[in-house]
Amino acid sequence: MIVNVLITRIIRQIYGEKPSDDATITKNLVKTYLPEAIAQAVKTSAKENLQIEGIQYVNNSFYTTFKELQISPEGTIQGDYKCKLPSIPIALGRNEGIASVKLQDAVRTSVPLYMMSADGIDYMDKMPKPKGTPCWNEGSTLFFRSPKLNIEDYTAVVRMVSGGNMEMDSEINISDEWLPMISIYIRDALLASRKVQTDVSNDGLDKI
Amino acid sequence: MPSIDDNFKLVKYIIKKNLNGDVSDASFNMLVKQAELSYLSHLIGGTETYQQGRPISRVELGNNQHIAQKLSPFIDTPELLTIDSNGNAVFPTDMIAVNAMFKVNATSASSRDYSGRIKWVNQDRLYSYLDDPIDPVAQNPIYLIEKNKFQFYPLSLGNAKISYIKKPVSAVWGYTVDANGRHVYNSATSQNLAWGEIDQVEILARVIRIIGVNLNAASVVNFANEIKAAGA
Repeated sequence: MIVNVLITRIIRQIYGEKPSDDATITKNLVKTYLPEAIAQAVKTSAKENLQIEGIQYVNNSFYTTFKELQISPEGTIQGDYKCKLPSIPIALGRNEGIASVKLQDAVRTSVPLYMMSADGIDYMDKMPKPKGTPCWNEGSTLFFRSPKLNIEDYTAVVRMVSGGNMEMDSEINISDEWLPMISIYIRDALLASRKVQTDVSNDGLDKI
Repeated sequence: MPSIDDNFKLVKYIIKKNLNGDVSDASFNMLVKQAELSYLSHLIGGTETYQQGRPISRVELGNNQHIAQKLSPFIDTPELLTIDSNGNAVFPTDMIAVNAMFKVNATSASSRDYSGRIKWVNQDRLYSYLDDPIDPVAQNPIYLIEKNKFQFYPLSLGNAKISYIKKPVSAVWGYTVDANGRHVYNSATSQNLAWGEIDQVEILARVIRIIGVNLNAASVVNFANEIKAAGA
Protein backbone atom coordinates (compact mmCIF):
# COMPACT_ATOMS: atom_id res chain seq x y z
CA MET A 1 0.00 0.00 0.00
CA ILE A 2 1.23 3.49 -0.80
CA VAL A 3 2.09 5.60 2.27
CA ASN A 4 -0.23 8.42 1.16
CA VAL A 5 -3.14 5.99 0.74
CA LEU A 6 -2.62 4.47 4.17
CA ILE A 7 -2.41 7.88 5.82
CA THR A 8 -5.50 9.13 3.97
CA ARG A 9 -7.40 6.05 5.01
CA ILE A 10 -6.47 6.52 8.67
CA ILE A 11 -7.56 10.16 8.56
CA ARG A 12 -10.90 9.17 7.06
CA GLN A 13 -11.35 6.60 9.83
CA ILE A 14 -10.71 9.27 12.45
CA TYR A 15 -13.08 11.81 10.94
CA GLY A 16 -15.66 9.34 9.75
CA GLU A 17 -15.47 10.93 6.30
CA LYS A 18 -13.17 13.09 4.23
CA PRO A 19 -11.83 15.86 6.45
CA SER A 20 -12.84 19.48 5.97
CA ASP A 21 -10.69 22.58 5.76
CA ASP A 22 -10.90 22.84 9.54
CA ALA A 23 -9.14 19.51 10.13
CA THR A 24 -6.23 19.67 12.55
CA ILE A 25 -5.12 16.07 12.05
CA THR A 26 -2.94 16.39 8.99
CA LYS A 27 -1.07 13.89 6.87
CA ASN A 28 2.24 15.04 8.30
CA LEU A 29 0.95 14.43 11.80
CA VAL A 30 -0.20 10.91 10.97
CA LYS A 31 3.12 10.23 9.27
CA THR A 32 5.02 10.99 12.49
CA TYR A 33 3.29 7.97 14.06
CA LEU A 34 4.15 5.53 11.27
CA PRO A 35 7.68 4.55 12.34
CA GLU A 36 6.63 3.68 15.89
CA ALA A 37 3.55 1.83 14.66
CA ILE A 38 5.75 -0.23 12.35
CA ALA A 39 8.17 -0.87 15.19
CA GLN A 40 5.28 -2.20 17.29
CA ALA A 41 4.30 -4.56 14.49
CA VAL A 42 7.88 -5.80 14.13
CA LYS A 43 8.32 -6.40 17.86
CA THR A 44 4.99 -8.21 18.03
CA SER A 45 5.97 -10.39 15.09
CA ALA A 46 9.33 -11.25 16.66
CA LYS A 47 7.69 -12.07 19.99
CA GLU A 48 5.07 -14.26 18.36
CA ASN A 49 7.72 -16.19 16.43
CA LEU A 50 9.72 -16.70 19.62
CA GLN A 51 6.64 -17.96 21.44
CA ILE A 52 5.56 -20.28 18.65
CA GLU A 53 8.87 -21.57 17.32
CA GLY A 54 11.32 -20.76 20.07
CA ILE A 55 13.39 -18.68 17.68
CA GLN A 56 13.26 -14.91 17.49
CA TYR A 57 13.18 -13.82 13.89
CA VAL A 58 11.41 -11.33 11.71
CA ASN A 59 9.87 -12.15 8.37
CA ASN A 60 11.72 -11.00 5.23
CA SER A 61 8.89 -8.67 4.34
CA PHE A 62 9.95 -6.28 7.10
CA TYR A 63 13.43 -5.76 5.66
CA THR A 64 14.64 -3.01 3.35
CA THR A 65 18.05 -2.65 1.72
CA PHE A 66 19.53 0.83 1.68
CA LYS A 67 22.38 1.51 -0.71
CA GLU A 68 25.01 4.19 -1.33
CA LEU A 69 25.22 5.31 2.26
CA GLN A 70 28.18 7.67 2.46
CA ILE A 71 31.04 6.74 4.79
CA SER A 72 33.18 9.35 6.50
CA PRO A 73 35.90 9.26 9.19
CA GLU A 74 34.54 9.15 12.70
CA GLY A 75 36.62 12.21 13.54
CA THR A 76 38.15 11.43 16.91
CA ILE A 77 39.24 7.79 16.82
CA GLN A 78 41.86 6.88 14.23
CA GLY A 79 40.65 4.00 12.08
CA ASP A 80 36.98 4.40 12.93
CA TYR A 81 34.44 5.40 10.30
CA LYS A 82 30.73 6.12 10.33
CA CYS A 83 27.72 6.51 8.13
CA LYS A 84 24.19 7.73 8.74
CA LEU A 85 21.41 5.17 8.67
CA PRO A 86 17.95 6.19 7.33
CA SER A 87 16.49 5.58 10.79
CA ILE A 88 17.38 4.10 14.14
CA PRO A 89 17.23 0.31 13.72
CA ILE A 90 14.45 -1.37 15.61
CA ALA A 91 15.70 -2.75 18.92
CA LEU A 92 15.50 -6.45 18.15
CA GLY A 93 17.79 -8.57 20.28
CA ARG A 94 21.31 -7.17 20.57
CA ASN A 95 21.63 -5.93 17.02
CA GLU A 96 19.22 -7.95 14.89
CA GLY A 97 17.57 -4.77 13.66
CA ILE A 98 20.36 -4.76 11.07
CA ALA A 99 20.62 -8.00 9.09
CA SER A 100 23.73 -7.28 7.04
CA VAL A 101 26.21 -4.57 6.13
CA LYS A 102 28.48 -4.62 3.09
CA LEU A 103 30.91 -2.19 1.56
CA GLN A 104 30.70 -1.33 -2.09
CA ASP A 105 32.75 0.61 -4.61
CA ALA A 106 32.23 1.16 -8.31
CA VAL A 107 32.86 -2.48 -9.26
CA ARG A 108 32.91 -4.67 -6.19
CA THR A 109 30.83 -5.55 -3.17
CA SER A 110 32.48 -6.89 -0.07
CA VAL A 111 31.50 -9.91 1.96
CA PRO A 112 29.15 -9.04 4.84
CA LEU A 113 30.85 -7.21 7.68
CA TYR A 114 30.45 -8.72 11.09
CA MET A 115 28.00 -6.97 13.35
CA MET A 116 29.15 -6.37 16.90
CA SER A 117 27.15 -5.39 19.91
CA ALA A 118 28.12 -2.02 21.36
CA ASP A 119 29.40 -3.53 24.60
CA GLY A 120 31.69 -5.94 22.74
CA ILE A 121 33.50 -3.68 20.33
CA ASP A 122 36.17 -2.34 22.65
CA TYR A 123 36.64 -5.73 24.29
CA MET A 124 37.32 -7.09 20.83
CA ASP A 125 40.31 -4.74 20.50
CA LYS A 126 42.19 -6.86 23.02
CA MET A 127 41.41 -10.14 21.30
CA PRO A 128 42.83 -11.76 18.20
CA LYS A 129 40.83 -10.33 15.38
CA PRO A 130 38.91 -12.33 12.84
CA LYS A 131 39.26 -11.44 9.19
CA GLY A 132 36.93 -8.69 8.13
CA THR A 133 35.68 -5.33 9.31
CA PRO A 134 33.51 -5.08 12.38
CA CYS A 135 30.66 -2.63 12.59
CA TRP A 136 28.10 -1.63 15.13
CA ASN A 137 25.40 0.97 15.41
CA GLU A 138 24.73 3.61 18.02
CA GLY A 139 21.35 5.13 17.40
CA SER A 140 21.10 5.93 13.73
CA THR A 141 24.88 6.02 13.18
CA LEU A 142 26.65 2.94 11.89
CA PHE A 143 30.31 2.72 12.89
CA PHE A 144 33.10 0.75 11.29
CA ARG A 145 36.51 -0.13 12.69
CA SER A 146 39.12 -0.37 9.96
CA PRO A 147 42.51 0.70 11.30
CA LYS A 148 44.47 -0.65 8.34
CA LEU A 149 42.26 0.08 5.36
CA ASN A 150 40.79 3.46 4.52
CA ILE A 151 37.18 2.74 3.64
CA GLU A 152 36.12 6.33 3.04
CA ASP A 153 35.81 5.75 -0.68
CA TYR A 154 33.36 2.91 -0.23
CA THR A 155 29.65 3.20 0.32
CA ALA A 156 27.65 1.03 2.67
CA VAL A 157 24.85 -1.31 1.70
CA VAL A 158 22.69 -2.00 4.72
CA ARG A 159 19.80 -4.44 5.03
CA MET A 160 17.73 -3.57 8.06
CA VAL A 161 14.23 -3.81 9.44
CA SER A 162 12.43 -0.76 8.14
CA GLY A 163 9.08 0.42 6.88
CA GLY A 164 10.72 1.88 3.80
CA ASN A 165 11.76 5.44 3.05
CA MET A 166 8.37 6.81 4.18
CA GLU A 167 8.00 9.13 1.22
CA MET A 168 4.34 9.83 0.50
CA ASP A 169 4.39 8.17 -2.90
CA SER A 170 6.43 5.14 -1.86
CA GLU A 171 5.21 1.67 -0.99
CA ILE A 172 5.05 1.03 2.73
CA ASN A 173 7.27 -1.93 3.46
CA ILE A 174 4.78 -3.86 5.58
CA SER A 175 2.85 -6.95 4.59
CA ASP A 176 -0.93 -6.62 4.55
CA GLU A 177 -1.64 -8.68 7.68
CA TRP A 178 0.15 -6.10 9.82
CA LEU A 179 -1.60 -3.05 8.37
CA PRO A 180 -4.63 -3.35 10.68
CA MET A 181 -2.36 -3.25 13.71
CA ILE A 182 -0.56 -0.19 12.40
CA SER A 183 -3.82 1.54 11.46
CA ILE A 184 -5.42 0.83 14.83
CA TYR A 185 -2.34 2.00 16.73
CA ILE A 186 -2.25 5.35 14.94
CA ARG A 187 -6.01 5.81 14.88
CA ASP A 188 -6.36 5.14 18.62
CA ALA A 189 -3.54 7.55 19.44
CA LEU A 190 -5.15 10.34 17.43
CA LEU A 191 -8.73 9.58 18.49
CA ALA A 192 -7.61 9.96 22.08
CA SER A 193 -6.44 13.48 21.27
CA ARG A 194 -9.80 14.32 19.71
CA LYS A 195 -11.65 13.24 22.82
CA VAL A 196 -9.72 15.65 25.00
CA GLN A 197 -11.68 18.81 25.75
CA THR A 198 -9.97 21.80 24.23
CA ASP A 199 -9.76 25.31 25.52
CA VAL A 200 -11.81 27.21 22.95
CA SER A 201 -12.09 30.43 24.94
CA ASN A 202 -9.46 33.11 24.52
CA ASP A 203 -9.54 34.41 28.09
CA GLY A 204 -5.98 34.21 29.35
CA LEU A 205 -6.71 31.06 31.37
CA ASP A 206 -5.47 27.58 30.55
CA LYS A 207 -8.69 26.04 31.77
CA ILE A 208 -11.51 24.12 30.12
CA MET B 1 -39.32 33.19 -10.93
CA PRO B 2 -41.43 35.77 -9.05
CA SER B 3 -40.51 39.39 -9.56
CA ILE B 4 -40.17 41.86 -6.72
CA ASP B 5 -43.58 43.19 -7.75
CA ASP B 6 -45.08 39.71 -7.25
CA ASN B 7 -43.44 39.57 -3.82
CA PHE B 8 -44.75 42.99 -2.87
CA LYS B 9 -48.28 42.14 -4.00
CA LEU B 10 -48.21 38.95 -1.94
CA VAL B 11 -47.13 40.84 1.18
CA LYS B 12 -49.81 43.47 0.68
CA TYR B 13 -52.43 40.77 0.15
CA ILE B 14 -51.51 38.99 3.36
CA ILE B 15 -51.47 42.19 5.38
CA LYS B 16 -54.79 43.38 4.00
CA LYS B 17 -56.36 39.94 4.30
CA ASN B 18 -55.74 40.11 8.00
CA LEU B 19 -57.28 43.58 7.96
CA ASN B 20 -54.16 44.97 9.50
CA GLY B 21 -53.42 48.02 7.40
CA ASP B 22 -51.01 48.38 4.55
CA VAL B 23 -47.33 48.64 3.87
CA SER B 24 -45.71 51.30 1.71
CA ASP B 25 -43.13 50.56 -0.96
CA ALA B 26 -40.48 52.43 1.00
CA SER B 27 -41.18 50.30 4.05
CA PHE B 28 -41.24 47.17 1.94
CA ASN B 29 -37.83 47.98 0.44
CA MET B 30 -36.38 48.60 3.88
CA LEU B 31 -37.89 45.43 5.33
CA VAL B 32 -36.98 43.09 2.51
CA LYS B 33 -33.34 44.15 2.81
CA GLN B 34 -33.36 43.31 6.53
CA ALA B 35 -35.20 40.05 5.91
CA GLU B 36 -32.62 38.98 3.35
CA LEU B 37 -29.75 39.60 5.75
CA SER B 38 -31.64 37.87 8.55
CA TYR B 39 -32.23 34.78 6.42
CA LEU B 40 -28.63 34.83 5.21
CA SER B 41 -27.42 34.98 8.80
CA HIS B 42 -29.67 32.03 9.67
CA LEU B 43 -28.24 29.91 6.83
CA ILE B 44 -24.63 30.79 7.57
CA GLY B 45 -25.22 29.85 11.20
CA GLY B 46 -26.55 31.87 14.10
CA THR B 47 -24.78 31.81 17.46
CA GLU B 48 -27.98 31.67 19.52
CA THR B 49 -28.06 27.86 19.43
CA TYR B 50 -24.42 27.44 20.47
CA GLN B 51 -23.83 25.36 23.55
CA GLN B 52 -21.00 25.23 26.04
CA GLY B 53 -18.13 23.32 24.42
CA ARG B 54 -20.11 22.83 21.23
CA PRO B 55 -20.15 26.03 19.17
CA ILE B 56 -22.25 24.60 16.35
CA SER B 57 -25.50 26.03 15.04
CA ARG B 58 -28.53 23.92 14.16
CA VAL B 59 -28.45 25.28 10.63
CA GLU B 60 -25.04 26.18 9.34
CA LEU B 61 -22.97 26.67 6.22
CA GLY B 62 -21.62 23.29 5.17
CA ASN B 63 -24.39 21.24 6.81
CA ASN B 64 -25.56 19.65 3.61
CA GLN B 65 -26.27 20.16 -0.05
CA HIS B 66 -29.59 21.91 0.62
CA ILE B 67 -27.90 24.74 2.51
CA ALA B 68 -25.28 24.99 -0.21
CA GLN B 69 -28.03 25.13 -2.83
CA LYS B 70 -29.84 27.91 -0.96
CA LEU B 71 -26.65 29.95 -0.70
CA SER B 72 -25.48 29.22 -4.22
CA PRO B 73 -26.68 32.57 -5.69
CA PHE B 74 -24.10 34.23 -3.42
CA ILE B 75 -21.14 31.92 -3.85
CA ASP B 76 -19.25 32.99 -6.91
CA THR B 77 -16.12 31.59 -8.54
CA PRO B 78 -13.23 31.94 -6.07
CA GLU B 79 -11.39 35.24 -6.42
CA LEU B 80 -7.70 35.92 -6.40
CA LEU B 81 -6.51 37.78 -3.31
CA THR B 82 -3.30 39.76 -3.62
CA ILE B 83 -1.23 39.59 -0.45
CA ASP B 84 1.31 42.31 0.28
CA SER B 85 4.77 41.84 1.73
CA ASN B 86 3.38 42.11 5.26
CA GLY B 87 1.01 39.24 4.61
CA ASN B 88 -2.05 41.49 4.44
CA ALA B 89 -4.96 41.29 2.01
CA VAL B 90 -8.11 43.42 2.27
CA PHE B 91 -11.54 41.85 2.42
CA PRO B 92 -13.47 41.70 -0.83
CA THR B 93 -15.91 44.61 -0.58
CA ASP B 94 -19.03 42.47 -0.86
CA MET B 95 -17.92 39.69 1.47
CA ILE B 96 -20.25 38.46 4.22
CA ALA B 97 -18.39 35.34 5.29
CA VAL B 98 -15.45 33.23 4.15
CA ASN B 99 -16.37 29.89 2.64
CA ALA B 100 -12.86 28.55 2.01
CA MET B 101 -9.33 29.78 1.36
CA PHE B 102 -6.94 28.06 -1.02
CA LYS B 103 -3.31 28.20 -2.06
CA VAL B 104 -2.79 29.14 -5.66
CA ASN B 105 -0.96 26.79 -8.01
CA ALA B 106 1.54 29.24 -9.45
CA THR B 107 2.52 26.94 -12.29
CA SER B 108 -0.96 26.38 -13.61
CA ALA B 109 -2.85 28.69 -15.96
CA SER B 110 -6.23 27.40 -14.81
CA SER B 111 -8.06 29.68 -12.39
CA ARG B 112 -9.49 26.57 -10.74
CA ASP B 113 -6.19 24.87 -10.03
CA TYR B 114 -5.65 24.89 -6.29
CA SER B 115 -2.72 23.47 -4.43
CA GLY B 116 -4.06 23.10 -0.91
CA ARG B 117 -6.04 24.78 1.81
CA ILE B 118 -5.14 27.82 3.87
CA LYS B 119 -6.49 27.29 7.35
CA TRP B 120 -8.10 29.92 9.52
CA VAL B 121 -6.43 30.35 12.89
CA ASN B 122 -7.50 32.46 15.83
CA GLN B 123 -4.97 34.95 17.18
CA ASP B 124 -4.43 33.05 20.42
CA ARG B 125 -3.22 29.96 18.53
CA LEU B 126 -0.89 31.81 16.17
CA TYR B 127 2.20 31.10 18.22
CA SER B 128 1.69 27.32 18.15
CA TYR B 129 1.15 27.31 14.39
CA LEU B 130 4.25 29.42 13.77
CA ASP B 131 6.23 27.07 16.01
CA ASP B 132 4.94 23.80 14.50
CA PRO B 133 7.70 21.50 13.21
CA ILE B 134 5.21 18.92 11.85
CA ASP B 135 3.26 21.26 9.58
CA PRO B 136 5.54 24.25 9.04
CA VAL B 137 3.70 27.39 8.05
CA ALA B 138 5.92 27.79 4.99
CA GLN B 139 4.26 24.75 3.37
CA ASN B 140 0.97 24.94 5.32
CA PRO B 141 -0.09 28.59 5.26
CA ILE B 142 -2.64 30.03 7.64
CA TYR B 143 -4.66 33.22 7.91
CA LEU B 144 -6.14 35.35 10.67
CA ILE B 145 -9.07 37.73 10.45
CA GLU B 146 -8.46 41.35 11.44
CA LYS B 147 -10.28 44.60 10.85
CA ASN B 148 -11.21 44.68 7.16
CA LYS B 149 -8.29 42.44 6.22
CA PHE B 150 -6.74 39.01 6.37
CA GLN B 151 -3.30 38.42 7.85
CA PHE B 152 -1.51 35.55 6.13
CA TYR B 153 1.48 33.54 7.21
CA PRO B 154 4.03 33.06 5.76
CA LEU B 155 4.27 36.74 4.97
CA SER B 156 5.74 35.91 1.55
CA LEU B 157 2.69 33.93 0.37
CA GLY B 158 1.95 36.44 -2.39
CA ASN B 159 -1.59 35.45 -3.27
CA ALA B 160 -4.47 33.18 -2.37
CA LYS B 161 -7.87 32.20 -3.71
CA ILE B 162 -10.94 32.94 -1.63
CA SER B 163 -14.40 31.49 -1.91
CA TYR B 164 -16.85 33.61 0.07
CA ILE B 165 -20.51 34.37 0.64
CA LYS B 166 -21.38 37.60 -1.08
CA LYS B 167 -23.74 40.19 0.28
CA PRO B 168 -26.95 40.04 -1.74
CA VAL B 169 -27.72 43.03 -3.91
CA SER B 170 -30.65 44.59 -2.07
CA ALA B 171 -34.03 43.92 -3.62
CA VAL B 172 -35.86 47.12 -4.59
CA TRP B 173 -39.42 47.76 -5.70
CA GLY B 174 -38.83 50.60 -8.12
CA TYR B 175 -41.61 52.84 -9.35
CA THR B 176 -42.67 55.78 -11.43
CA VAL B 177 -45.25 58.30 -10.37
CA ASP B 178 -48.38 58.42 -12.47
CA ALA B 179 -50.60 61.39 -13.19
CA ASN B 180 -52.48 60.79 -9.98
CA GLY B 181 -49.34 60.72 -7.87
CA ARG B 182 -49.51 56.99 -7.33
CA HIS B 183 -46.43 54.82 -7.40
CA VAL B 184 -46.50 52.45 -10.32
CA TYR B 185 -44.16 49.51 -10.54
CA ASN B 186 -41.21 50.05 -12.86
CA SER B 187 -39.20 46.94 -13.63
CA ALA B 188 -36.37 49.00 -15.09
CA THR B 189 -35.57 50.58 -11.74
CA SER B 190 -36.39 47.50 -9.70
CA GLN B 191 -34.16 44.73 -8.41
CA ASN B 192 -35.60 41.25 -7.92
CA LEU B 193 -34.65 38.98 -5.07
CA ALA B 194 -31.61 36.96 -6.09
CA TRP B 195 -32.70 34.01 -3.98
CA GLY B 196 -34.16 30.78 -5.26
CA GLU B 197 -37.94 30.71 -5.51
CA ILE B 198 -38.33 28.48 -2.45
CA ASP B 199 -36.18 30.74 -0.32
CA GLN B 200 -38.18 33.82 -1.28
CA VAL B 201 -41.05 32.45 0.82
CA GLU B 202 -38.74 32.40 3.84
CA ILE B 203 -37.73 35.98 3.23
CA LEU B 204 -41.29 37.19 2.77
CA ALA B 205 -42.32 35.40 5.97
CA ARG B 206 -39.69 37.44 7.77
CA VAL B 207 -40.95 40.63 6.15
CA ILE B 208 -44.50 39.84 7.23
CA ARG B 209 -43.43 39.07 10.76
CA ILE B 210 -41.65 42.42 11.12
CA ILE B 211 -44.70 44.20 9.72
CA GLY B 212 -46.94 42.31 12.13
CA VAL B 213 -44.78 43.30 15.05
CA ASN B 214 -44.81 46.90 13.85
CA LEU B 215 -48.59 46.90 13.49
CA ASN B 216 -48.94 45.06 16.78
CA ALA B 217 -50.93 42.49 14.86
CA ALA B 218 -50.61 39.09 16.49
CA SER B 219 -52.51 37.44 13.67
CA VAL B 220 -49.93 38.58 11.16
CA VAL B 221 -47.05 37.48 13.36
CA ASN B 222 -48.68 34.11 13.93
CA PHE B 223 -49.26 33.64 10.25
CA ALA B 224 -45.60 34.39 9.52
CA ASN B 225 -44.44 32.05 12.27
CA GLU B 226 -46.64 29.29 10.88
CA ILE B 227 -44.97 29.63 7.53
CA LYS B 228 -41.53 29.48 9.10
CA ALA B 229 -42.31 26.58 11.40
CA ALA B 230 -44.17 24.42 8.93
CA GLY B 231 -42.13 25.31 5.90
CA ALA B 232 -43.36 26.77 2.62
